[in-house]
Amino acid sequence: MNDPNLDLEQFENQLRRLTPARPPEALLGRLQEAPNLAPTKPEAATKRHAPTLSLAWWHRLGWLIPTAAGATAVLMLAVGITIGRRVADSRSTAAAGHTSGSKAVAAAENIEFDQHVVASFDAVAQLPDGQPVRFRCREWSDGVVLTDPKSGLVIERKTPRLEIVPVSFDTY
Amino acid sequence: MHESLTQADWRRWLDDHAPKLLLFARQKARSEADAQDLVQEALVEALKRQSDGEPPPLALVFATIQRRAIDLARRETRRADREMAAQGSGTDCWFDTSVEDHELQKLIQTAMSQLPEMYREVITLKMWGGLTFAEIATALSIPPNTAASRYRYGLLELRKRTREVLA
Repeated sequence: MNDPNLDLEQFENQLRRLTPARPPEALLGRLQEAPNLAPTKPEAATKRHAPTLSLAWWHRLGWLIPTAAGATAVLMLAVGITIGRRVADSRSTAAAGHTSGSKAVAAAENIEFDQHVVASFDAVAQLPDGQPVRFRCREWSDGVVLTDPKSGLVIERKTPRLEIVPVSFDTY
Repeated sequence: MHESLTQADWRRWLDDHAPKLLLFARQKARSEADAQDLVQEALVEALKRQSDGEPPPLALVFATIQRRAIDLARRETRRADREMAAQGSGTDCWFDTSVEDHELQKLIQTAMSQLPEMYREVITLKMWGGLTFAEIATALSIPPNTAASRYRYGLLELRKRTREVLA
């Protein structure tokens, strides 16, 4: 009985005696031009190196990413603090303005003027030529009272005022 | 022309390898015209991938033929059928007719034509393409063990079909 492995090996050797047929000359002519249809080496090299260069550039600037992130965080923190302060200031200013506005409104609506005669008398003086002159004198008290019922604020100011009116001196 | 690849170098490379490439393309294509186009397109594509100015690796060209043949089969099944019917099969000699074993080459070509493609392509790449099983595995996207087993089963099948003629 034949050995199948030996038989197959002999068959393999028979097959090896065959060689692929040479392509037609027309095809060989086309294939001869194949390198001219492909890009030249420098172009191909450039295309291949482009990603590598890009990658190297990226690696060189890799430190920029955490630095930029840190700087951005600090900047945002500073801006946040500034904005917070400005908002607080504007709120206190608005509150103050609101308060003064209330007083002004209160003053405009609750101001009382009062004038009282404290004293009234006549005075006699003599001119250089010896002619007597009579003066009618009045002491006044000018009062200004501002009240704000909501806050219970009462502001009162009194100013003394002297009124002197010369009158003819009648001789009898 | 690629740098450091002269016309003479390229011509020598073609003389050595173009017959193998065309034989493999004939296994994959449904017409002689398609087979020749496959070889040309695969060589141009493989040369484009080369940046060192050297001829492309043979396994890469075989793999490119394989991939382009699949694309072609999907794209032009109808046209290939018509061309095959019009020109008939077996009109082109796959093997060199100058050798003494003229009958042998006719017998093997006929038997190979009847083999399943998965056996035919592996036998062609191994026997006449000169590739290792690892290179065949890469070219055909199959495991190396599968390539080896297909080669053995294909040889057995081929032997069975030719046993009556070959002693």
